[in-house]
Amino acid sequence: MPYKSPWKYILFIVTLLVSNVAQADVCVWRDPERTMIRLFPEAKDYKTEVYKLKPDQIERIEALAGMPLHSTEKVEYNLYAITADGRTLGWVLALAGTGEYGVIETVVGLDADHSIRGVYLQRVRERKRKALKSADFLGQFRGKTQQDSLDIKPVAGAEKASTEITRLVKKMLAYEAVLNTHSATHSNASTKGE
Amino acid sequence: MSFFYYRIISIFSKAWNKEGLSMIWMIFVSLFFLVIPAQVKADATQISGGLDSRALSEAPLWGVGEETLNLHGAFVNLRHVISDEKGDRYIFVAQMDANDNLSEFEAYQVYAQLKGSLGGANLRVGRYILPFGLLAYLDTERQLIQTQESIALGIKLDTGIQVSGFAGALDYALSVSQGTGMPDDEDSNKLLVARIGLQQEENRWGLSYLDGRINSDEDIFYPQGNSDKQRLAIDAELDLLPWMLRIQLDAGKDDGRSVSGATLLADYDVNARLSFNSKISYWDSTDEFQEMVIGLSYLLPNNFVFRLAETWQQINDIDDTIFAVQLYWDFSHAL
Repeated sequence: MPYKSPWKYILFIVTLLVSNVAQADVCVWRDPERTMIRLFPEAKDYKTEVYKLKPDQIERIEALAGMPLHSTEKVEYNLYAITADGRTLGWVLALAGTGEYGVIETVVGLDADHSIRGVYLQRVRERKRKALKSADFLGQFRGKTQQDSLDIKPVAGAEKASTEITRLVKKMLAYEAVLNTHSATHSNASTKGE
Repeated sequence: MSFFYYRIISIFSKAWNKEGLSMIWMIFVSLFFLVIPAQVKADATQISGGLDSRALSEAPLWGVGEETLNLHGAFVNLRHVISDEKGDRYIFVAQMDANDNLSEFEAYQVYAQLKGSLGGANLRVGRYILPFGLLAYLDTERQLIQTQESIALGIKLDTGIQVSGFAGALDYALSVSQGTGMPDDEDSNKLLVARIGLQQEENRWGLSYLDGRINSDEDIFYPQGNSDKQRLAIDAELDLLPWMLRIQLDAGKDDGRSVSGATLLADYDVNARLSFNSKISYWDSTDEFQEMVIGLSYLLPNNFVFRLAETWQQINDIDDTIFAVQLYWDFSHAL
């Protein structure tokens, strides 16, 4: 295999070293409308709210979730406010985790009272996908709030994925409780991170 | 704020097109001023980017890549969303690519999009990926195994206007563009691309039509440009655990000559990090092209992806086998 110039080696190595220093999150949910309509059939529009996370917010999110955030989860978080005729119907949140067979992209819809309206798996490649996407499993989250304990019965044969989905939902509820200051129902809400 | 964006677009356009703003960019800027609201409620900017380093055992008969180890490409993508009091309304995307050890710079997707309510209808103006076949939702630019538009169309990105959206499980896209692949409209001919799609829980289907003159030398190994083309394509993405299959069947004419082709991309997920990838494709025009690829993709920590591929290509009686290694990294971050 011919290599035409030593400079290409140098450039190659330098760019890789530089890129390895950067810490970033690759989670861009660019076409969320279909999932939003699935969770909020009466929705007319949505608004993206981007929050850059502050250290105290990260601490509170981790405390509420009962688990540390991954380094890529400590940078920013997006909430999607679902609207119709000028009213906010609720919020949609998304977070990706890892199952046995790849990324599990989990989406949560919250009603205006901050209880879970529905959970949807945007992408899941687990072998037990049908059971994981079933109402029997995902329906267990319905009506839960951040204050509730999530005692979710896992799907037989997909315990790791079930646990991961439950962890993702817990994290999203914690993100929402800390970042979303549109309602006074969260006693521990803070000022907006932007 | 409007002046700020006008300056950015103006500078970008002039740098890109030395003859000044072409008609499409005049439309772009005019539209921007027409739609921009007096009261902007919120905005958000996201930057993403990536590095694509590759080593090939030899140059392919067609497609991209060089017989060497190099930084094949690097890109930076800026995405800015402006919301009014009802919701997200305007999206601006600008991506610059630097290829071949940062020696060649080019604009990738650069467009403004006016969003209708919840995706029902969107208007896009600028340079974008044509919504034809698998390209409507699959961009393999930074992968070793790629869709075959360089052979089948001779164009991937073009400057124009696109309307797209969805209603229930159906989606649609209609694009009118210059057919040059560049900002310049050299011959004032237009390229029409239309696609209707059906998206279900685990699969999606599409029917695409393309008609117009393509004047592009996008593929340096096999220039397809400067011909009147008509194409009809059926595309499908089938999520059949553990397989992911993507299929495109094409038929049409180049300057009145019949052409046809087919592509099958098949991925098999072994676990969360490892997947096997393959492709088989065929294209029949004045020459006969065949390609088969097998490879693997392994996710490394810190957003790195390692890929291997062995490609066999044949044009008529000439064939070649290429071994390729890729280390890819990308990121996304809010500004």
